[in-house]
Amino acid sequence: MSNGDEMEVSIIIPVYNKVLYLQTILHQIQEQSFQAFQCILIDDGSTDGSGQICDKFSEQDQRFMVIHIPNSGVSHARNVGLQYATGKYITFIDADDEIHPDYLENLYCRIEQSNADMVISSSAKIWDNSSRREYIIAPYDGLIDSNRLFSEFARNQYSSGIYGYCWGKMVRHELIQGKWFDEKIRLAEDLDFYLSVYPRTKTIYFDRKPYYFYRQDAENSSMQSPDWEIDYYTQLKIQLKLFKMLKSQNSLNQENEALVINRIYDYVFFTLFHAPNHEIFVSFRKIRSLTLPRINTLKGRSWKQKCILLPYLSKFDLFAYFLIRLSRINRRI
Amino acid sequence: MPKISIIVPVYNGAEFLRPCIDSILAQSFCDLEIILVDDGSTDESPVICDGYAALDNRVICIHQANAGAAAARNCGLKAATGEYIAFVDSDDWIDQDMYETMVNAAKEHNCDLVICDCLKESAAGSCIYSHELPGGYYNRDAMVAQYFPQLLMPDTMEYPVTISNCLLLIRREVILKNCLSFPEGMRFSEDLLFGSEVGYYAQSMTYLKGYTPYHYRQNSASVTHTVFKDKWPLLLELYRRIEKSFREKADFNFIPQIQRCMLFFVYMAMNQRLAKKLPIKQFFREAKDVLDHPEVRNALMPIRIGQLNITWKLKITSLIYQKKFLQTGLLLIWRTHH
Repeated sequence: MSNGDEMEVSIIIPVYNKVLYLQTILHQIQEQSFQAFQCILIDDGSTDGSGQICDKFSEQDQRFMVIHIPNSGVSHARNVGLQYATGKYITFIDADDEIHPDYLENLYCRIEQSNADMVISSSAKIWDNSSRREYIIAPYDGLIDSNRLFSEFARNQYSSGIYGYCWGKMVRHELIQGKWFDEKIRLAEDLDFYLSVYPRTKTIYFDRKPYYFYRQDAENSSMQSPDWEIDYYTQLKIQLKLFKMLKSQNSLNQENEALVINRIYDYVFFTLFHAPNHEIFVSFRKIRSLTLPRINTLKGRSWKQKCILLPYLSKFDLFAYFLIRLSRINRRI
Repeated sequence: MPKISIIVPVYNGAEFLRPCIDSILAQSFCDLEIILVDDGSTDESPVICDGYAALDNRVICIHQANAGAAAARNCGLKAATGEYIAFVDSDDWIDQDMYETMVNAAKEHNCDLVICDCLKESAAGSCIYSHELPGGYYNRDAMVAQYFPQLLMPDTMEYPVTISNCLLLIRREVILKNCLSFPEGMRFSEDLLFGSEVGYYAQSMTYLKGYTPYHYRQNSASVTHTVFKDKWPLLLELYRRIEKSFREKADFNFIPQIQRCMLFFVYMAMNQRLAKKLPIKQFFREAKDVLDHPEVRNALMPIRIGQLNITWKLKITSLIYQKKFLQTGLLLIWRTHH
């Protein structure tokens, strides 16, 4: 495959202050065994010189393209990238991750040969200065009908998170036409995005080679945000979206339903438990407005969860309020 | 000399035997020998084994009179010639790339031991089985510091990393040099001791955390799943062997872990007694047989239950087994099981 006029694959990379890792990944992309790609770098107002590295690459190599925008969050950056993408297939890569030399070729061959709507790759978590490695292996091997995917969606998603990661997937461009990342969401925005993509797929190819390396301890990684800064209410809404998606796909079997409802009420608890004092009653109202699926049993939850969920679900708001205040008496909020 | 010897103990699992052997023969890594040890099966599995031995010259078939899984594995170990040893249970199956990936991981750092995770397969679907240990390469120092504290029994009172010998790729030299073998006569948990010894004597290891090429079939009556009358005498015997083997290691103090093993075995023995739904007097008598045993007393007394990483329910149960509030406690436990 030579560097022809028509680009087969568009790679979208949002870049925000990743000067430590950026060179590595850009070199790895340049040296891929698959060459017919267009690499769109969105410099999201970096202040550490990442922008200049991007510029250097785009001057040397015409397949690299840089767009500088003022800092406005990763979702917006990806949306900008999507607007510039012209390839037949789209894939996302994070600026602090690494890839195997055959990563793109592998994904491209799989999607072309199987005529799938999407390929999902396995991956490995890596750590700085350590040979430690943990694998996220795809739950299937080969071409899978999307009905099968939905029937076991919750279990696979909750055990590895594989359906939510932005990277490690290659999608047909027409499939995500008109779909955008929600710029208001700070965490799991990629799961939210893909949840609206999966219903459009007919078949998905799963690949078990862990050729994408997901760095765990990069600076300003989202995973380090402390408990009380996570917007649990938004996470609750994403889980609710997952519930509705499975329902609309007629895949709300017993297992899916139980797992998702369980997760939804985990987030109900977290939303209430981490709400600032003056917003507890607001949270009650906000959650009631969501029309959540009914929960049948609180069995198996910790006593802390039971103490707060039980009065809330029985509409004893005042009682629930005092229990929430009481339960975190020695926490700083 | 082949690179890997794969030992498959076979005992009366004809139904699942073919998919198991087929999945091994289909490996993308070809330089292997398969040693089928037929442990005196009474169904058609010996015929199936002979059939495969005639079909593929990488397959060797050994027949022996029924002597248990441990003896069958030892017999396989004696016949093995490969640089590495692996085990597969005759009712499980593996992915095509399993040994290719594991051999590559072993080569990368010249490791003595490679460990992967598995999927537990049941009618309800598959579920990943993994351990608390971080993945990656460990040299001897890293092993002593990070792995040895949970080699025999982690403080979560869950099975140790090496519990399933089928998830290990072991350099045969480690087994030969240290004369390791399975404790014969043990019909139960025989891999706990062998796996721990391999983990101890290996000079370096790689844990492929999250990589799940091994499919472990649940809810079938295989060699390892058959229920025996009373496990307690066997557990006590296993404890003695563990204690003998690990009591005086120079580079690490395993004594707290040996004691936790005993607590774990006591859980198992007591659960078996509770499951029998005996009347209260008989239950008391049988419970005392276990809890009054001098070896149990000596092992359980020094354990600091409060520092274990377990649920409060299990902590209370453990305190009762330590005989802190024995009579009332046993009554309580007995009542909750009725």
